[in-house]
Amino acid sequence: MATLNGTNPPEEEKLSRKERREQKKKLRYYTASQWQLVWWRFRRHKAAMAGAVVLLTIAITGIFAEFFAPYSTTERDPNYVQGAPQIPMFWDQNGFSLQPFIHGTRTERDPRTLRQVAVPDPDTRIYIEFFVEGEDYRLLGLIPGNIHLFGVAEAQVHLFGTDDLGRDVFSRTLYASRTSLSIGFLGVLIAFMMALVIGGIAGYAGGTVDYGIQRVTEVIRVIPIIPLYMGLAAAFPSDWTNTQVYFAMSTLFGLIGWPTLARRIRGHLLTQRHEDYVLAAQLAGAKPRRIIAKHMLPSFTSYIIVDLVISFPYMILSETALSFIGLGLRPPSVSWGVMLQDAQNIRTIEQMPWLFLPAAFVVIAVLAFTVLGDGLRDAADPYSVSKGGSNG
Amino acid sequence: MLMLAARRLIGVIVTLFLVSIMVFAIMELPPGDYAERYAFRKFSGTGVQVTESDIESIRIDFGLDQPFYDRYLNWIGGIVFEFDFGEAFAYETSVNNVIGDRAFLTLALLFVTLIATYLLAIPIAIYAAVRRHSIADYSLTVVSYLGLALPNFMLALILLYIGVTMFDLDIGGLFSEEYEDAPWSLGKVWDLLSHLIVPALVLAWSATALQLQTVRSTMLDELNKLSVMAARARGLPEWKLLLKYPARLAINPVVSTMGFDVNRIFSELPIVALVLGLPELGQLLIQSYLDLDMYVAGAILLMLTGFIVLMNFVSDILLALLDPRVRARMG
Amino acid sequence: MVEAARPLDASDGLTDDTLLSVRQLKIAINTDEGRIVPVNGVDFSLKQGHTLGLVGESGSGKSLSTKALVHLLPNTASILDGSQLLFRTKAGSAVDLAQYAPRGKQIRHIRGGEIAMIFQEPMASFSPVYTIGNQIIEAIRLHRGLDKKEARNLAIDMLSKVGLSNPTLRIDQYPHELSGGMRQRAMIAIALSTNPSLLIADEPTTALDVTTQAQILNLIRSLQDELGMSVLFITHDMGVIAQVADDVAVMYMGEVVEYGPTRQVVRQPQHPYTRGLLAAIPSIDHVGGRLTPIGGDLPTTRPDGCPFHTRCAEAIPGRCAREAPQTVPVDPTWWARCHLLEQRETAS
Repeated sequence: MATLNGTNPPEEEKLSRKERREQKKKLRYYTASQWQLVWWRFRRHKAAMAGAVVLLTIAITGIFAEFFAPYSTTERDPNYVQGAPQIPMFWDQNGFSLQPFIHGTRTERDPRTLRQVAVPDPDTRIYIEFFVEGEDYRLLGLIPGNIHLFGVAEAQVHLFGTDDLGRDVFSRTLYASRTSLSIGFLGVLIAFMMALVIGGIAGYAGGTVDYGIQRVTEVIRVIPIIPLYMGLAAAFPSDWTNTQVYFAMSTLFGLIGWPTLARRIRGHLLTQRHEDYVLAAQLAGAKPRRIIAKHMLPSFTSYIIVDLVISFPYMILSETALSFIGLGLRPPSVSWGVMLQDAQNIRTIEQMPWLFLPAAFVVIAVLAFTVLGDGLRDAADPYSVSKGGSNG
Repeated sequence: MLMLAARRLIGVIVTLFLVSIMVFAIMELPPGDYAERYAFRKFSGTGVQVTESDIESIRIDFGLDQPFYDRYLNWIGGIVFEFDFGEAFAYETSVNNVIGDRAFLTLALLFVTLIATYLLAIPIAIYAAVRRHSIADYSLTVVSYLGLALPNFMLALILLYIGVTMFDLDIGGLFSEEYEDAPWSLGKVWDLLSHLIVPALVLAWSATALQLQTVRSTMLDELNKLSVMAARARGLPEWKLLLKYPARLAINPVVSTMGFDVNRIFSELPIVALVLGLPELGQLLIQSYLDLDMYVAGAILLMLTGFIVLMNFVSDILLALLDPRVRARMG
Repeated sequence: MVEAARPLDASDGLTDDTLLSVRQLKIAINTDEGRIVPVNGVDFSLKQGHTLGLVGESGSGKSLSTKALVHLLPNTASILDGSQLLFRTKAGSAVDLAQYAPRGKQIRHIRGGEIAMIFQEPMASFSPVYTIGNQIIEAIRLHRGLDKKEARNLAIDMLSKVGLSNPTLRIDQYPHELSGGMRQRAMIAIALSTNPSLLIADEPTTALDVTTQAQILNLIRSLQDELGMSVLFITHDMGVIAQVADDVAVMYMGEVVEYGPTRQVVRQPQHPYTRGLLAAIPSIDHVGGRLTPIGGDLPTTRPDGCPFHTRCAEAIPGRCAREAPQTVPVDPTWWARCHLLEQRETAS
């Protein structure tokens, strides 16, 4: 910019290579699209990038759980009931091995509880193999296959241990991620559509309509959310199938989750309603629906995306809480909440603390969503730099 | 000011009325009706044959043959005029009897939790904002992220686990054994308070995390205000200045979200109570939902929500007392 | 030769009639992208009872320079060694404010007590949750050691002195109940209630409408006559300077490029930047004529040589871009920092 004036040509010729590169960068910056700018800013946000990677990992391992999990959700290992997690090793007292292995087990009687328990046998090694054949499955319900990412030849390997029926906690956790994330996803989707319609009407119409909708939202918001969910979930008939409960729950989350989103959309619309470009569209004869969809919404798409990402964790936490107390999904469905139900009893946790591992997934997923949301918000907000976000 | 309070009070009544309709609708939601459940509960296992006509007579006894609005009016009329919340069939007594002490214990737990939340959140957040980019500030950010990600009931489980495995200590329950059924005495109150601390801290966990963030960011905004610079330019000592100007305004969002905090605490209460074995309303609520004992559930839901509405009112009034701009706006 | 051209000799203290002398003030700020020096060697001085106008575009460092006087810089900023902020206290001794600890008791005594400030936005200058009176009385009690009742009476006196009608009512009102002009008057009342010897007015009229602006300027001037204080008046508006200031210091990119008596500077500006600023003022004589803006934008980083050379139409090729100009005296009270002047001097 300093040389734009052009009053001193000799200076201009002496632009160093560095300066020219700077200028090119600036030019690229000025001509970048909104989404490019958002992406550039987002990329600088390390925590949010990490959050995105973590979420992608959980989502992909969940969606393709059949491949990533060595066993199905119901398969039992009678030789390793209530077994502790088996951590793959590269060396032990007998030396080093390039291929990871676990120790074999032998059954012993617990001197205190007098129950049969499996304990590791440090003299036997079971090597972990990759891309092994195992149970048949259909990926995404379509593609048949029987290759699993890893497994062992004879016995079974349990990275996260087994529950009191001998089921593999690691495999079940992967399947659970799929259920929990997808319930959240469906919930957010439903909430978003309702918020768009209701918030759109309230924000565009304003006045009495807006007031009425505001009152109703207020009443819903004043009832504590989990007790409300519980009350509605209690009404699910006991003879419903798990699929029915699954969809009923995501609908429930959507139905109750929309007010926050609707309020945001309404707020955005109310501030934009009197902008000149809206008036211009009205004068051109555009219908309200078209003005909202084509002109007003795109101006804050990025904010809506942020809002959606931020509302995700609430859905996940609600599912976990409901299933945890037995008012949500029920076995044989597997979700994070259903799995944690096994860890409700302090005696159980004392004996098998690894049953609590799905909780770590909940916490990590929610954390990842939160930092991702923060990163996106900072990236989407052109003033975020001057404001200096809380984690900037 | 009085006008404001009166106007708000009318709003409270309208909201309570709408809430009661919603609560009653939730009570009516479960499939089958109250009479069938009552009969099933009362006579199953006793060998008595229940006929369709028996159920019909129960139905008439409870007025279930009347239309929705009549039933609603009966229910709400009983509550408003006679303070009668109906029958708890799972316990075969009145809802009032079932709830009894639990309402009081719930409020005690709520207030200890609120006090813990504010005592922790406000000073720490103010300190972190003043010492921005210090270790205290960064650890506050980490804690507040964790507070939102780690649900209270999981924290409760973790604390239980730590208590049992490391200290051989059971931190559940609200009373020691010797006081469980004892009449109220100073000793019992003290026992209750000492048992309330862990549940209150667990319940305060996420509310504190949220308030830490709110207070910190308001405080940061306020610290950059010109009015703070102006006061500094008058030569006011730094600590006096911080307390009088930015900190005073950083309290406002806390006051204005008091109802929201109560809402959040009540929302998390049932599950935490279940995990920690607290004999209060939330845990009873879960049980009555599982039993489909809807008069109990409805009574509790109405009480919890009613209290939230009340706290919203209190917070509005407090905010108006604290902030002349709010007073001017609300007139 | 160059040293002697300085308006004040750096080695001596304050001359008797001088209240404030700023010498080679440098301020650094640590940012995420590294350290920047937005104020890089500012010199000016202010006589007792006089008004000095500090003029420049936003970002020229004028506001930072004055905030440095009372150590009101942001936490990331610091005054560099070698800066001198010589100030004559009410007690009569000359002190170097740059040596004071930024949070110490000494500087707190100076703030408000000897150097008072008013700011650009009268609304934001008050805390909304306390009454006007509360905030005036706070200042009075801090610096004058009066009891509550005396302080309140003095506050009411001050409010009527700054021309607020019905001061006994106003004193118990909240800032949002006053108009912008009234708030700025109240702000002036706070500033002057402690009887300071220097008032720093940081663009006090920018946020006000034109008629209120004129009233506030008149008020400051008449109070100055009455109380005998000096005023350091910051603005980006050369027109305001011409109205209020005895002397003017023109700032560009953290340096004073021209300093001198306002009348002479306005009539015969020596520095090309001053000329540019003056050409950009609308005047009654040239209604209908076009205003001449200064070409180009403020550079984002300080250029080598003379900071103004990137926008200067008269820059000497090869020299201005490389060599930083020194101060060149026009007469004993007037100097500018420009190579053109040096050339003219050597030519004559």
